[in-house]
Formats: sequence, C-alpha cells, structure tokens
Amino acid sequence: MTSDASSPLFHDPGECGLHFFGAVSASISHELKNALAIINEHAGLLEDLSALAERGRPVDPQRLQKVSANIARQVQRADGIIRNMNRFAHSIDAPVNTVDVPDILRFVAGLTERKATMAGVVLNVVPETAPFSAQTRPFFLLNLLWICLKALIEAIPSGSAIQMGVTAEGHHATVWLHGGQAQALPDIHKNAIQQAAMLIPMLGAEVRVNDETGNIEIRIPKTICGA
Amino acid sequence: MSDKVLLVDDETDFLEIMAERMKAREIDVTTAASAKDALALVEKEGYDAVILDLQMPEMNGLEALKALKSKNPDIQVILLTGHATVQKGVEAMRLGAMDLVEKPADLKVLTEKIKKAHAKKMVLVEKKTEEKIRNIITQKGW
Repeated sequence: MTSDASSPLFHDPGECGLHFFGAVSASISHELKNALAIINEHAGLLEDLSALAERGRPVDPQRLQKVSANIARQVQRADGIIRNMNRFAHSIDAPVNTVDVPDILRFVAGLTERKATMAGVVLNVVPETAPFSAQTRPFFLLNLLWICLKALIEAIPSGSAIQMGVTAEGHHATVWLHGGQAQALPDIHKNAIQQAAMLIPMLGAEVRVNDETGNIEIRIPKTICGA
Repeated sequence: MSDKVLLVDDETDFLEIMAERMKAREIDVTTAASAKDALALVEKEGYDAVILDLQMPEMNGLEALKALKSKNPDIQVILLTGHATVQKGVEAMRLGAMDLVEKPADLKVLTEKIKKAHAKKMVLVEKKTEEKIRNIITQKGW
C-alpha cells in the first residue's frame, strides 16, 4: 500500500493530529447531515399532512405517531453523534491524562464506524476485555489507533470484519486488530508506521505485526516516561 | 405525464419518507438502497432523473455517476450530498452530473430540478429522433 491523498505523511505530530481532527469532524458532520435530512423530510411530511387536513382530508393518528417516533429516533441518533463529537473534542483538554484503554478502543471503533461502513467492513470489539488504565496522551493515542484501524479497513475486502481487543501484561496493554482475510499485513503495518511515525515515540508505543496470529498489535505503556 | 425518478440513498428512512413526499406530488418514484441496485434498475427502465447520494457504502456517488453515464450518456443525474465541497462539485460536473444539491434538501428546489431534468431529457430525445429521421431520409434518397 502506498501513501496517497487519503493517507498523507506528516512533518510533526501537530500536523498529524490536525489531519485526524479534520477527518473525524468531516465524518461526524456528514452523519449529522443525514440525520438532519431525515428529520427535515418528516417535518415536510407533517406540513403536507396538515395541508391535506385543511382541505378536509382527515389525518390518521397512527401516521402521526409513526412520524413522531421516526423523528425521535433520528434525534437520538444525532445526539449519539454529538456526544461522540463532544468527547472527541475534549480528548485534547489535558495533554496527559489517565485513560481506560479498552474504553478508548471502543471509542475509536465508534469514531471509525462510518468509514468502516462505507468500506463494507464490520467492526467488533471483543467484550471480554479487562480494564487497563494508562497515563498517556489521550488525543494522540486515539490518533495512533485510528491510523492503524483505518489502514486495516482500507486494505481488507468489502464484506470482512475486524475483531479488536486489549490484552494486559504487567506494565503494558496491547491493543490488537485482526482483519481476517488481510493479505498484505506487512504493507498495512509499514503504512501505519509511516503515518504514525511522529506519534509512536511520543506515546512510548510500539506497532508490530504478530506473525503467529496475523494481528496488528499496538503496545501501550502504563505510563509515559517523563510525562 | 408525471416525472419518472430513481432515488438512490443508503439511508432507508430517508428513501421511504422522500419517496412518500414525491409520490404525493405525483412524481413516479422508484427507490434503490445501493448504487448496484440503481445500476440494475437503470438497465431495465428509463428515468427522467436519477437522484443519487454522494456517499454510499461499496460504490460512492461519483463512481455510480461514472457507471450510469457509461450505460446511458444522456441520463440526468442530480447528486445529493451531506457536505458539498467545491472539489466534489467540480468533479461531479466534469463527470456529467446535472446538478449537486446539499442535504437537507428543499423538496421544492429538488422538484424544480427534476422538472428541468425531464425537459432536458425530452430535448435530447427529440434531437435523437430528428437525427434518426434525417439519416433515414439521406440513406433512402427519397
């Protein structure tokens, strides 16, 4: 896999972080637009129904209930998107903070879901993940996980699933990503490393391919030295 | 004659409600939840306009536009997008889209564009018919 417009190389972590922030914000705004478009059409339908009622055609209460339920569902969907956006924006509040690594992984999966859906890929975070807290740079950790996950999504065929989880061992947690039929793991790994070159030393992390399991593994220390 | 429209979007809630509102305006609308389904429908049926979402799984709107235009260069495509960028708009026009409308779309505006697409199609059909007649006359030498 070569670097292209969608996976540029960066000169510093700030540039890399801004690219990540922009990509996630664009995805969020697109999802919100979809929810708003549906709410807008339901509002339009209510207008149509009231115009018909004015001309003497009775409005079916069940129809109104259905419209109302659909609007509520879309508002809930939009609220979920905004919550994610808010949490994402606050991930940069403190440069260094204590985070729960499995929780961060679930959050990255949520942020990347739209990209995965567009590629026809399903994301699954395994439920049997024990909590592991790490003192790290939350925003840049999100950025690193996003880069690795994005590289895998772009490399595997449509219809595949990615399994993800966290294993903990002493002073390290390992986030693993398994792409099933991923053919070109070394290339995906190389691409992710190139993309995340500025982030890996900042986080004291390691990114590698496990030849036995075929997993991409991101090793995260419990604390960042000197943080 | 009512306008015949193919509405393509992966958001099924959007498809359902938009189709209902279009039908209430006497637009003959068919829906497709993917670009692949839309391409199969276009093979079988002729439409005055295809309204196509720009961002869909597997095949996005621009790829679908290319495929639709290669099947039928005269097909009138209106792209619907969640976030219209100048770059995407220019690319869509270069590929032969008739227009680009940002979501949430105003149905009045969209209906006007459908009418415009219908009129454009009629002009193209007339031109083709005239050309055919001219060819027959020239070849037969009557």
